[in-house]
Amino acid sequence: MDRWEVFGKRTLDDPWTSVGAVHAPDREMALLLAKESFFRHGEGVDFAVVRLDDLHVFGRSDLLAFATDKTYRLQAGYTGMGDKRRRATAKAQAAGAVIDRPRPADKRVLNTSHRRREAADD
Amino acid sequence: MSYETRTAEFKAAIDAGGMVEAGDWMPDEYRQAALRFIEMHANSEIMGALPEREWIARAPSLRRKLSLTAKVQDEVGHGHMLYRVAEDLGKSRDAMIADLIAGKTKFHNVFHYPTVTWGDVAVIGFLIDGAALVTQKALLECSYAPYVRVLKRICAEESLHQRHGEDVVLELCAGSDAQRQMFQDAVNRWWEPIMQFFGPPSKPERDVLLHWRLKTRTNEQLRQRFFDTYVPKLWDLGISVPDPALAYDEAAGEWTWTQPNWDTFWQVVKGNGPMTETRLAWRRWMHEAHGWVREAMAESPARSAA
Ligand SMILES: [Fe+2]
Ligand SMILES: [Fe+2]
Repeated sequence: MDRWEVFGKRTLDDPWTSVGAVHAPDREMALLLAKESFFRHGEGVDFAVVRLDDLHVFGRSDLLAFATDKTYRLQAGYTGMGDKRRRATAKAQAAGAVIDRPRPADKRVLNTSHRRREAADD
Repeated sequence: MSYETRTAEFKAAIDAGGMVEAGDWMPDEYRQAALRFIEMHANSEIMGALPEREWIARAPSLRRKLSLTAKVQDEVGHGHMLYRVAEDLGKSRDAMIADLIAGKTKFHNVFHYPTVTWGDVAVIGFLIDGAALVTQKALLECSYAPYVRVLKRICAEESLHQRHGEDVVLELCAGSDAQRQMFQDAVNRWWEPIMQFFGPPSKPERDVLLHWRLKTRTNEQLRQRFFDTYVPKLWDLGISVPDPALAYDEAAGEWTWTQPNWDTFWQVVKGNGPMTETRLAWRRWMHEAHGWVREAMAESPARSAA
């Protein structure tokens, strides 16, 4: 009997997510078993089965790891943005260059005199 | 069921928040509108990689070269994912690429302009990726599900680009006077094209993309969102925007701004921008030079065995 990998979607705009596996002799049985095994409680809006033989797994985590420093590809490569922002603003303030024109109330001129954590930061 | 009834039911389903899948029945107008919109998005990702690609070798440090290369790779990847989504709507990838390099289909106005200095790269990374992020985030609520799935991934990468762009901006603004000036000059060059990027203020009731919920916000709503986020940030850095009218109107609850020249905008997107021909020629050359890859893929043993 074949093993089938089961994929589900919580919402229609979600990508397929692997949720488990079933054993079944054919596609119809696999779909039925998948439905009864994984989607009895409103777990999603659609699901699919793929015969394990048709799933080609890469299986080489060593080739997905970064051999060299590639943090520039990650959010983590750009930390301390709030500090950089304050430093640049402080410089503009010292030069009298900050532009204080009418703006939305929640977008006040960035206060550089003390370190505030703002929601927009980092 | 008649075509009209079916279309009416389809429209009602969309208005009720329904999503459309590639295999679902859809009215021809929906298919056409979705295809044109997503194809133009894909074209813009592919062509949008070029202005920055021009700066990889000239980027000021090894890390900036690497990050710019990674970003260009992301943009081309966005193009590929979007062509894949567009293909299901009935136009082959080959046909889309052929039309793009023949200048028959459009791409965003901002990618028809030259990148003169490293300051332009800062503007692209911060303000143009920022503008793209504002529009693409709004598209996450659109009705075509395969597009939304791809956009989720694209938005995650775009927010990284935007952060990278801000990092470059902050470095210039905290640097020497010449560096600040370089960025200011670039903002001055790019402001009008960025205003044009969002498109002219349009009548929502006549917008076919809004009708089918392929877009959920008007051009003007998106432009206002962009002002909210980016204008205060520029001002805080002492960077001015070349529009003396630009200010937030407290009473109206929105920004006042000056309309750019819309004739220039239409000229540019129709293929008469300062860099249109150069970049299309470059894209044509690359397409031909890499023809052997497509040939090799078509001949692969796995394919003939299948
Ligand atoms: Fe992109
Ligand atoms: Fe981007």
